Amino acid sequence: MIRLFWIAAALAAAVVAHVSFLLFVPGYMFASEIARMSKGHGANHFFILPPEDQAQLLPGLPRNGVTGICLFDVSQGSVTLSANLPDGFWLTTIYSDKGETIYTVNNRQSGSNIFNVSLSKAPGFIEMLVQATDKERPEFDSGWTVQSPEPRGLAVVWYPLADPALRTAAASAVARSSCSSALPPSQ
Amino acid sequence: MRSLAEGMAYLVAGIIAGMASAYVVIENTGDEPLGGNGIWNSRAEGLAGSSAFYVRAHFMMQGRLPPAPGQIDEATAETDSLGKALTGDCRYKLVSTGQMPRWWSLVLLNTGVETSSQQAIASADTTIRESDGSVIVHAAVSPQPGNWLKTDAARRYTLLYSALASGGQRLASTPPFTITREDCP
Repeated sequence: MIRLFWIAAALAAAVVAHVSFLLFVPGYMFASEIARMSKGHGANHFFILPPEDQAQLLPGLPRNGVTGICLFDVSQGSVTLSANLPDGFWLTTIYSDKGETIYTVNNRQSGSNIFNVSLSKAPGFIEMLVQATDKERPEFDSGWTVQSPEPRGLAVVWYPLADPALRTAAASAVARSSCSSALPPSQ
Repeated sequence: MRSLAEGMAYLVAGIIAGMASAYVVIENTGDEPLGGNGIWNSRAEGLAGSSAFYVRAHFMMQGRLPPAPGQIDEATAETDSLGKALTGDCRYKLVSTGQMPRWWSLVLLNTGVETSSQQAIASADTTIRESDGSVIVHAAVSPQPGNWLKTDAARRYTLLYSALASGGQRLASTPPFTITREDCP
């Protein structure tokens, strides 16, 4: 009888361990890598990744291309990604911090190398009910609007290059893009 | 006392089994073979399906982002056409199997080596096409005539193929390259 109890307890522990592993381990490992890459930059800032970090984050892409990222945090208000990219092919993708792609656009789909994407937190069920009742809607900047299911995420701009010698100049051009919070800077 | 120790052993075994099963599920869910030669596997369909949570977890555990759906497709190969593991001891001939997309790349992944200063890569920007439009790449330790993908001696590796999803050819149904072992000690 006691053995049966422990077997049942082991099964319960297995289920809890399985679910806990799925929920926390991948997110923790990914967050650790991102924290290492963004050290010194912080949230809501756009910066260019060094080639080694780019190869880690996007291993299928040649490292002589240019990748810029912005770790956004919309928990305190909307964040605007202002892209100002050079001519040629580029790809902009916005991920939640769970790795879910929530928006992606390339140069052909965009039609312009200069655009704004306003990022905000997707309303929860209660907020949607309140908005529907009060006829309130969030206000956004001009440009595209993206609502993230998670408060934090990652905007990634990839600009491929055929010639590694052009990387420095291309990185400077991609770095004209910015990421900014709608909140005033804290005192 | 003995009963308590036995119970603790059951609990520890349960926890280990739960974590191991989660790891196995993450690594295997959504990893589907592409049609044709059976060498290449892709998680593209899994990313868009009901098992996307597990597939995303696979990428996140590697500290990397999944490819953007609808923009870039990915596939991996760990074996040659005979089903033997890819290794730096051997020389392989990779031949494209159809119309190539506007942009593609072929990266050699070794555990921990892909982020070193040297990236072993062949891509649409760096390879020379044959007169019929096909692409032939030789994967070997030593320099090869034509397109050369440098491998590390005595190490097993994985090939990662990435391609723009736009255009006439979608990766979902077409394997990108055949991989033939040419020379092996």
